[in-house]
Amino acid sequence: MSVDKDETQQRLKAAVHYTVGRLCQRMGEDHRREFSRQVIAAIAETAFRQCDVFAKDLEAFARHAKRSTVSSEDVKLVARRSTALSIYIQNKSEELNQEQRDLKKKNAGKRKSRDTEESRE
Amino acid sequence: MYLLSLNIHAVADPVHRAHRYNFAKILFSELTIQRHETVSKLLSSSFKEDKTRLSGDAALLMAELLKVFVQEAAVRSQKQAESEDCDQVDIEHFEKILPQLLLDF
Repeated sequence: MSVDKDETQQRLKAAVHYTVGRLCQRMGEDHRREFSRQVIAAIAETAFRQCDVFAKDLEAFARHAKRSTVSSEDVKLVARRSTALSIYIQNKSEELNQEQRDLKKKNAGKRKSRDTEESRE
Repeated sequence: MYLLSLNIHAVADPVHRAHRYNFAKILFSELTIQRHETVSKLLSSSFKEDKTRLSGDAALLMAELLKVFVQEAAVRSQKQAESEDCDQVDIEHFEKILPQLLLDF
């Protein structure tokens, strides 16, 4: 059982490393300053560990609100330390809600037109 | 089981390498487009209780947060290298910005 868990951890670490590498490669090209492999590994390791910190915080916030599912409110709390970050996450959350509302309207519209067609038949 | 280094290109077994590469590509697309499975797995592996779940919205927002974290780390390291007149971003530049980065997050 723990061998599986280790394997999952390694895969996740490798995934983070790959993603960080791609992001850093893009930024290196944009700003004409490349990252050494050591730095990419260090950023990946830091991001991976920060995930652990975030996850534990998220779980604590959800439990404090007597929920077992972590919601976007918990994420907004996690991002509270920096004002700019907090505003950024709140805006993203608003965007997501707006998209979902638009999607619901579209689906409701489709359903209505489908119903009227069926009743006509 | 063989020991795994952080550098995925060092993995010897081609089958495992292919799996991990695909897994990694999925995470990259999730952080740059918008899906959430790998981010969910990443976070839920650190949850202490089994019943704790991550909502879809929360996973998307966390993916954004992680992307911002990595970008901040990268940009600050670049600025530090720039202020020291270095062509390449080295580990010492990252080490110098790391404390403030962690305090800001």
